[in-house]
Amino acid sequence: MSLSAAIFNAKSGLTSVQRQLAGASDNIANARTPGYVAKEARVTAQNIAGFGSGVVADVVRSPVDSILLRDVRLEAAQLGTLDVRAEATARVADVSGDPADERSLAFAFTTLETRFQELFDQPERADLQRQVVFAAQNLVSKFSEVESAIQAARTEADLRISDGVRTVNQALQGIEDLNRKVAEGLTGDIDISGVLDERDRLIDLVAEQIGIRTFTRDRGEVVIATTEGVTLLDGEARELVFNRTAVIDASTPVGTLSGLEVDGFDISPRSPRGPQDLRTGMIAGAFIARDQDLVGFQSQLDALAKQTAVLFQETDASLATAVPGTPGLFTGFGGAAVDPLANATAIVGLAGQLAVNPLADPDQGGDSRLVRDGLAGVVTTPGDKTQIQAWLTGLSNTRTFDPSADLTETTTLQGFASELSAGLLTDRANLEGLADRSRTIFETLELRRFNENGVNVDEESEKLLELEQAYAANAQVINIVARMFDELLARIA
Amino acid sequence: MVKPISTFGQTAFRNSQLRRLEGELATASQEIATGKKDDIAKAIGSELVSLQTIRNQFGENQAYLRSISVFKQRADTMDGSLAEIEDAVNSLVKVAAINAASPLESASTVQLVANSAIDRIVASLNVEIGGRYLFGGAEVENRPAQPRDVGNLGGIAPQDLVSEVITGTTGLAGFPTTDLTIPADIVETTELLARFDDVFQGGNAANVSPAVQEYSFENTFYNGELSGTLIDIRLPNNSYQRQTNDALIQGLRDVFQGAYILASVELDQITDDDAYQQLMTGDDIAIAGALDLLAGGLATIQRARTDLGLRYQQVEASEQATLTQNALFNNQIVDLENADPFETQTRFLNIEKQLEASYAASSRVLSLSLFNFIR
Repeated sequence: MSLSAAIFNAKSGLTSVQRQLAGASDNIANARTPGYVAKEARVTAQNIAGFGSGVVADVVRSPVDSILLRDVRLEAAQLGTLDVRAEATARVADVSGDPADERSLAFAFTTLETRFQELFDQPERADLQRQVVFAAQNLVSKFSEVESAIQAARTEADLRISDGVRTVNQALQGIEDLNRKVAEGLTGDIDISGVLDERDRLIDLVAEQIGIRTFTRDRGEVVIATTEGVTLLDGEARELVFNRTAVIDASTPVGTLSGLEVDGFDISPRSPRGPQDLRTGMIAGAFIARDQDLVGFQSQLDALAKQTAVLFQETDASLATAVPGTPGLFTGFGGAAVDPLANATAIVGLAGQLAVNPLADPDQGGDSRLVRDGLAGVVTTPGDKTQIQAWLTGLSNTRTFDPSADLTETTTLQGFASELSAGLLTDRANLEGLADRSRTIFETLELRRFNENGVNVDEESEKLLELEQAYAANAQVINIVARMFDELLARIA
Repeated sequence: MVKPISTFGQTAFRNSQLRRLEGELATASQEIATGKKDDIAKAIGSELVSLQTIRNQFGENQAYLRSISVFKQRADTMDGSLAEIEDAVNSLVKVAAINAASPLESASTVQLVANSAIDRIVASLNVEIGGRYLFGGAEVENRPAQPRDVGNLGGIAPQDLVSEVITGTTGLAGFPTTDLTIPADIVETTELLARFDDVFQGGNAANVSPAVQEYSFENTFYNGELSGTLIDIRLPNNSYQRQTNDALIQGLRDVFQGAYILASVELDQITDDDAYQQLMTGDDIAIAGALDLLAGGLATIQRARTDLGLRYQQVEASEQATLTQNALFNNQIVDLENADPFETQTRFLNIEKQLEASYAASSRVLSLSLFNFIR
């Protein structure tokens, strides 16, 4: 081996070390960057005609476990669905109330019944009559609060869908651009690891919003489709279209709200579910919350409101001689009576419209004695409790609720309200429990992903030491060869 | 080869674990402070409906217990009043019975005792609690019994009415004008008793003439509700205990009739023995004398009082059952809502230790670096 060859080898060693050093420093710099895939060095000995001629080092992106990545993304979508649904349900459940704090909707019925019970004992007392009116107003307020919470949660879900769609569209555009760069990089043999990292980060963003599957074509382009098989990106990104509704109230039918379309094809989750409807992801969760979960609670609330109004109409003996359609203690839409035969569609939003009949409300110029005598007029005997007993009996008796409310059909108002309140809380707890389980799985998978592709600072530090030594050794080789040349030249001179 | 772990992954994992532990610690701390489960829905799941139902029933039972308290207060007061009425009637019956066959020396005092008895009965019937009269049925704001010397809404006082009936100066009512203050024979006594019968037993009240109707028990002596409720209460399961006032009213009709007869007739002036006996004890067939009316009315009132006592006992039994049920409900609520203090405390300590260990480990791990050992 000639001295020139020795210098060449040492020089290649220095170059190799510098490249590896650059890779290690990049790793250390990005040690805390989420989604960063560690780079690793591939060092190869060079041979020319069977003789060693130095070393070559390439720094490449470490291989990514695609199965693991898929699982992480599927679990992220699952977690997103559950988190969004749990949050929407919690919002309503918080307002509906906890049985322990005596402010639940069900307890408002208990309070109304106990106020009537107290009035039964002393029907002539004006303060107890007003207590009944207050209890009725409290009940109506509770209905209104829960109804408002439902509509606010639906509006929020709609906004969340809109934000999610914007995120997905932007991310898909970004991925489309990055796909091109990846293809160019592969063709031109350029380091594209940063591009791949960024593309993975954008795919992660999409995966949180929509459950997706991906595969990569030969030229490195990634293709994205929903888990239900609708292509979102294949060469070009397809635009997801959603039109936000600024304010949603109970009278806004589900059918009039925007779905989610891809090239005119609706993929929003519907009931019954279509084969290509979205199932997972935050967007799917928000759709399910907006159009199914919260609408279900709304139906239950409206069914309860209807039976409340109807009970106080049917058991009010004074109304027997009044004009048909005269409202009882509670009024429905526009202050009118509630039709006992109205179906579920006709009473949508009734809970938010329920009010105490102004005739019995002293604050509206009414006479609170009507809660004792019936809404059609005051009787002359102050101790008469016939009507109060009729109302109390009505509250104790079972009623038949609309089966579409999906709770016990034949029960008391209070029983139905208890099931409704408890159901909200239980649904919230169940969804949170499922989300917690999903979060644990997601975090475990995510940790595995980090460990597979992340950076270990100590390992990189160790590499730095080795590289430092290697660099010093190569430099020493050059130094020695230089001295040998000097010695040689001195002797020649 | 062992795959190295990601520094960032480990930090993120540790942070996540620490956050979870801190959350659990906050929950345990909250449960220790309040004694209640932090998230009941999560803790008891499907039993939440039961808890809501139990709480509803507990609340309703509290209302029932308040009603029972009101009932007992009223029943106690009414029982006292009925006892006083019985005593007043007994006093009158005693003195009247002595003079039942013929007027003795004490006959002159019967009138005084009768008036006194009427006043005592009226006062007892007009008992009230918090401005609410107890013996008038639904007419709780009107005193049920009209005092002897106070005019009713039409202006007639009971004693004036009786005076007019007995003296026959009933003008507008158009009664016979014969003065029967001292009945001369059995015919006049029978006529006298018949007039009182018309007044107290509903004859005049059913008369088509409004003027005649005024001369009646219903319109002058008793201002309460007829065929109404003496006392009632709503108990658990929407069951009702109700005693109507029919028996008491009938007793009062008889007692008032007998007492007013004795208060208006001058017994010691009646010279005809048959007339006298007819007045006091009637005949054995159709006509009841003053003493018969008093005795019969007293028995009816006693039956009403007994009935009241029985209902009181039933309500008391219901009270005991409700109290027992609420004690049971309370235990169930405590079981469902309250956090077990020992379990919570133990959990808190465990989490605290775990958290301390995690903090220590995190701190040690974060300070570990290869450079610390090679520089």
